[in-house]
Amino acid sequence: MLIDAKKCVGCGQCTYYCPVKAISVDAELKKARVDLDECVECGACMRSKACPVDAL
Amino acid sequence: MTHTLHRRGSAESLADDFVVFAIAAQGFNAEGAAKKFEKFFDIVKKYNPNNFGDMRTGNSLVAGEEVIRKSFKDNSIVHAVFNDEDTVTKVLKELKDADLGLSIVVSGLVHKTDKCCKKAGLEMHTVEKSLGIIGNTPRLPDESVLEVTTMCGHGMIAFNLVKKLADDVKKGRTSPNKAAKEIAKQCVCGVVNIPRVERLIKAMAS
Repeated sequence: MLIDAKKCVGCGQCTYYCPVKAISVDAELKKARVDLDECVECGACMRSKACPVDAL
Repeated sequence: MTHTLHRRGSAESLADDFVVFAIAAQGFNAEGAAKKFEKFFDIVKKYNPNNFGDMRTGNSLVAGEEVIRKSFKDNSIVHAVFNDEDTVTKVLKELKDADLGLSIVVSGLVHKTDKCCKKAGLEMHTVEKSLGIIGNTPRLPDESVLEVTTMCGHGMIAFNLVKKLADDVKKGRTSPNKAAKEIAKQCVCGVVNIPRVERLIKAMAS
């Protein structure tokens, strides 16, 4: 899973939906990021429609 | 094997949690199974399951009844969740009479499921039990969170989501029912028992 940094507003809503805690918000950049070593590509974050700006 | 057997909790907590589902054996009786799933769905729907779904299409809250009904495939697995033994017994009786030629699996407390089968004139022929979680278990969250997350055997309910929603309920930002539905949406198969989640979230928030 990838996050479109241009669209991401750093709200962190997507972080709650990841079953493997692979999504975090970079405090400096104020953007969400996916740890690709942890991500299992389950798509739970995308299916949840938690992202208000469709950045996932 | 079914992922619904990983559900955790005390006997009291699991007493109102039953999943009934139909599955065809690929390469054995799957050909033409889509039509049989429609009949299965018609039967379980008559008894007002609190959640339902087809793992190929989605659950009651996201895909909805109409889309699920139109989308059955030969490799579907169709689920319905119930809260009491009497209803499960009636469902099983009707499924027995319908003789669909599909495997019917019931997840629930073994003695209660056995009772339902016997009342419906059926004998359980296989019982499967989860061996629990093996591995770095200290990394797991509290049992109260696991009771909720294990209702999706594929692990699609995030621990953090349960904690956040319980906190939201505590702070009055959402209701236990809305929180339960948001949790149930994450499980594609539709096997989350919504009233049970609601009860557990309420307890976590209090």
